Amino acid sequence: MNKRIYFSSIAFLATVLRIALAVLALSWVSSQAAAAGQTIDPENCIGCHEETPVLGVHSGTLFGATNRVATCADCHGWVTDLGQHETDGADMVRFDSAAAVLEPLTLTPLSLGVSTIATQNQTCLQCHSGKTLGALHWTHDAHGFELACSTCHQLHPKNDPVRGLSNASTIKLCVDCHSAQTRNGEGVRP
Amino acid sequence: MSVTRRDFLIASTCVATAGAFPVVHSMEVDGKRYTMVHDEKACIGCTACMDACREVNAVPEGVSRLNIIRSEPNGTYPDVTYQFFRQSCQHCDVPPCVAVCPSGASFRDPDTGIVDVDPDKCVGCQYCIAACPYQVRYIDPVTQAADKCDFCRKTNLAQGKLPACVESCPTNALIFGDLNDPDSEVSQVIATSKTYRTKVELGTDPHLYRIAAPTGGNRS
Repeated sequence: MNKRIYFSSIAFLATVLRIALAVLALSWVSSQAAAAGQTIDPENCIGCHEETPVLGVHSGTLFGATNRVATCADCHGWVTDLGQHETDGADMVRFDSAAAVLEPLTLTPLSLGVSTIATQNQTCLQCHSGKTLGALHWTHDAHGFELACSTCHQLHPKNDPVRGLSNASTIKLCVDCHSAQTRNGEGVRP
Repeated sequence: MSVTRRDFLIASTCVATAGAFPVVHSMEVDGKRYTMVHDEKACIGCTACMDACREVNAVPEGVSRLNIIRSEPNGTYPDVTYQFFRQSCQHCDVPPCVAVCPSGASFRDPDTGIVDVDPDKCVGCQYCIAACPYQVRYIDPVTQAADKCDFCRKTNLAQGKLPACVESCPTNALIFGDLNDPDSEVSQVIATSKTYRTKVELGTDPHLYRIAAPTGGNRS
């Protein structure tokens, strides 16, 4: 008899557990649906942003955090307010090279809607490790604080002009930028 | 007791040094003493100087008058720094390469203090290459003569310009001029900055001064 009560108690507890799990799962699904209601599907981005399709190395690449093909939102973030987004896009991570160069050197405020270097680079570093970048080219190391990746790299076009640059062109890139700094009296920051 | 070639060269350098020292200085009373400063604090390691040197002086591929040696990275991304070291002729006041040259091809120009090579006199014995403590000499594969940096004596300097490396540096990390002129920029920099030279203990009196980067190096 003791044994039968024991087993029926176990069966009862198992049933309660199953019901609890089902309730939890349902509430998670509904919360996801609610969240989805506040955003737009990344597939829809291209409906408006048709001028900037991703054709380069990031096209069709796997995004490590989700283990599926990378979407606009993986790099640019999720739109939380479509109306506001259409006005200024301020809630997105925006990769703007010109402002990124100016920001740390002049310490002036960023122009509207441009993300800080740290924000931009953190996005890239989700997949690219600093150690690997340094091994690929030492200048990645040397500019980790001062420049956004987008200052030198273009990721949407089919070809990133920086990849495969000749040695002479690479040196010219250094010289052009650092000459301007020298002329402006900025020099090398210690 | 065996005497190695290195011992022999060191001994012969010392003898030459003792003899040459007073002569050298008596010869440059009215002459220039061209000198260079490499400001390692300002250098970004772009190697534009190396390219300019090769182009202006028609240095063949495979050899070089000037190298910028990049240190290993200090720190971890993104907080990483490097140090850059210029490897080129030091234009010594007491040059071991000149002392050991059997044909008189290696010489020190008394009017400028520049150490140079006359390729027509060089027999390619490579004694100078072995004797140079700074390891900056090579045999030019085209002329088969010893060669190295001459501060662009036969190219830019002859045209009244600055050496190619100095001209091309985007951060003004190279300062060049006459050390005998106390008002020249190079004299002023050496007088007012903390500089160092390498292997001065050998008595070579090198004329490539360096301003050391902070410990840990530079960030571009």
